Amino acid sequence: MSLLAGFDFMLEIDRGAALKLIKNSGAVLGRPLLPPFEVSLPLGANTSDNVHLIVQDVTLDLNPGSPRISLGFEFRNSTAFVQGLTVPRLSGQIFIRADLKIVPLARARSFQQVSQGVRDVTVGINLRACEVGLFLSETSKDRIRRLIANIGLTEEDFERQAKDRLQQFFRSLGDVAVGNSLRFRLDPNRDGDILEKPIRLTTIVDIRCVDHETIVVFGTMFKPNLGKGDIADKAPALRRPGQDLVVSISSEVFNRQVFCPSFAANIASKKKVDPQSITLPSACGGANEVEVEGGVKITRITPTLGAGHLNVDLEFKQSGPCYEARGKTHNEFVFSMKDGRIVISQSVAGQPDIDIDVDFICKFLLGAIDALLFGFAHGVIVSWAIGELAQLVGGLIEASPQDPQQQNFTFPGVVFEAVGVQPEAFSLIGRFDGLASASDTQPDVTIEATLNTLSTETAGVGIYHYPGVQAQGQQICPPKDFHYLEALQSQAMTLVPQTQLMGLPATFTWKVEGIALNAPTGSISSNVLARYPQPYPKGTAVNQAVTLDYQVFDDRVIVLNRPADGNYYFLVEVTATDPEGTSVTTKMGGFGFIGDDLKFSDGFEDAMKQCAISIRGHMSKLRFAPQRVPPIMGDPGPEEVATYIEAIVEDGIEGVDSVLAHAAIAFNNSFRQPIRATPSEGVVIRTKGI
Amino acid sequence: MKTTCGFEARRFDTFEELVANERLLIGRIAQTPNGGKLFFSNAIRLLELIGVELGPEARRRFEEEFPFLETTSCAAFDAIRASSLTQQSRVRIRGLFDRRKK
Repeated sequence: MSLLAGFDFMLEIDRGAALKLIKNSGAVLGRPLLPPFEVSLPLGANTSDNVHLIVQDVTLDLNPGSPRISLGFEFRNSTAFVQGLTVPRLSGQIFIRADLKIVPLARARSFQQVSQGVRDVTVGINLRACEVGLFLSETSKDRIRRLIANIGLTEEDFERQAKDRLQQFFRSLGDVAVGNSLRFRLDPNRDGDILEKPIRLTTIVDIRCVDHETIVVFGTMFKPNLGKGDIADKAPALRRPGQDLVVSISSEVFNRQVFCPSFAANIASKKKVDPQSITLPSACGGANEVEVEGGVKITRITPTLGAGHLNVDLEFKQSGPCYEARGKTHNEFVFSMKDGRIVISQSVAGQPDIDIDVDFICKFLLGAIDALLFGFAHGVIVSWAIGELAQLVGGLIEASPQDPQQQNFTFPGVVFEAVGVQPEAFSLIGRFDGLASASDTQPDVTIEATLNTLSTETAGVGIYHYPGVQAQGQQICPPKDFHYLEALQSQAMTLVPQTQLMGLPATFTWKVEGIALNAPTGSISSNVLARYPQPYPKGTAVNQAVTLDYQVFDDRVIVLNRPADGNYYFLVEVTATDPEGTSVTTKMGGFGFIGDDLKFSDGFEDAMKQCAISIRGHMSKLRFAPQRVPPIMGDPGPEEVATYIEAIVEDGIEGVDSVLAHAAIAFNNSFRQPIRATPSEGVVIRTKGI
Repeated sequence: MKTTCGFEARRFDTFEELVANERLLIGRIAQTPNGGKLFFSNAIRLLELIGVELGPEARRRFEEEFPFLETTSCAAFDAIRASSLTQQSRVRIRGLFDRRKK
């Protein structure tokens, strides 16, 4: 048994961490699976046959010794819509049993890389052959039994058909990626590189569950090692409880891709030459020797991983006209993490074991004896051998100087917190940062509104004498006459409630302006501040009672205006109650009718826009204090215009009255536009300052 | 007469006698625990330890030929001799005199 089972690379992922990845990735259902959440799944080809699930919990179980996992969804207060029947208040569990799989990342590589078989991959799930289990609670089964009795289906038929259809749906999703945090680049044509981002491997051999809590990915880094490794030889997981993931490389990978490059870099740095030009001694290269300081040559360097430390055994020699000295030294280093970076410190500084052969006594011996015999050389040699290791190993994890938590190792979103060293493997131990386990979403109801003008009646026509804009002696916009038509509009506001985390079907009760809509149809009267556009542009504000007619349906309310009531806003309150009795109330404002509208001709709209551009051009030449007059960009909304005007007024620029008058004209015009979309857009329109 | 190391005492009055007996000296140094290391700690004391006495002329020439050798300090020499531990640095002396000069 061995930690890496003979493979070059191994990634161990904690079950809980994998579950968090799945929950946050949106891979399975195209949305995050942070409970509680709701989702509608098809229960057949007919789109009206579906199930609305309120998922309270998501679970992940691993099947040791295989790639098989089981993803569970615990649901309650859910509703099935089948063959025209509505079956509410269902609870139970859905399990998806599927195999883990290495799947391609969506982002494509270059054509050349793709044609050469280079792929970016990540951990995923093969849903093509998944098996779905549906387990309904006994009360749910009873409810189904009662409801479907008269359509010739048994409860077992219903459950089986639902399960089959869910399975069909999940299988149609194919291979899904579990986020993109755990990504790798596979290049079968060359050796991998642990220092690349993402890590480049020659191949990923397998992904499987080694126990109930650990998923393991095995990879090969070096082409000659293809075929080596035996998954059956995998020792129990290296990962300890609480550790989200452990990235391990074999001692060979550590030596070849971490230690020896650091050694070469160190020598090159001290010699001020290209690292490629350095011929490394045995273990890191051939049977070479590399000269360091004072004529000392390192003849062999042997890094080996130990239990909790790195051994570095050095052999060196020095010779002169009258002597030849050979020595060796054993050193040990330990790794730790500090401020998000790997720190290396020497735990054992072994004394060198040195033999000096003296051919005769000569003056050159003096330095050799001092250096070798009495220990001077040791620190120097170790410095030459190890100096860059800290930097290179540290380079595995490039922590941001500003924020140690922002590391730049190969896996985005993973914070590495510890280093593990075993004779067989060098490991980085980390956790996923910023992954949520659950959502704080609560049952809620909102309203979607649509405003339609049902009919228009012309009330009159007129001419508006636009005064133009003058500022600081310049005519920025020319005066002009515009014809208008006053239209009285009959409008209907359709209010559709949207529930969240509530069982279906929900029932709704409504209030408009605080008055309950108790009948299927009717009228209410309310006191509001209504506006009329004339005399333009200031218009007229009137406190008055307006009448709203309404029609109440199961799933919506239609509120109608009376055009003579002018333009005004009204408040809406809706209370939703689901089959389990959960009740939520929401009040929303900003719904408005435009009963009295002026429709300009003669290019009024374009002229106003052009004038706004001219004003902006003029204003941009003025020296406003930026903290008082914020820049205005594009086609500003009414509120932005109002803020802009207020700022200009406060800045006391000559000619601002003219600009202000124009803005009022333009703003009034935008106010008169009907609400076209959602009430959230309608909310933007307020009577601020006008 | 035997020395404390069991070597027969020898006296060399000239440097040439010393050179002529190089093999003897090397052999005695090799037989002495940490002999090479002791030689470089204090050559004169090492010679005394292996039963070699230098006459004034021989000593003068020895110090003249090898001015870089330590011949007066005793601390390191005594420490090496007193230590019961295996020394991690060893000096094996295969020759003393540069024959190339001849």
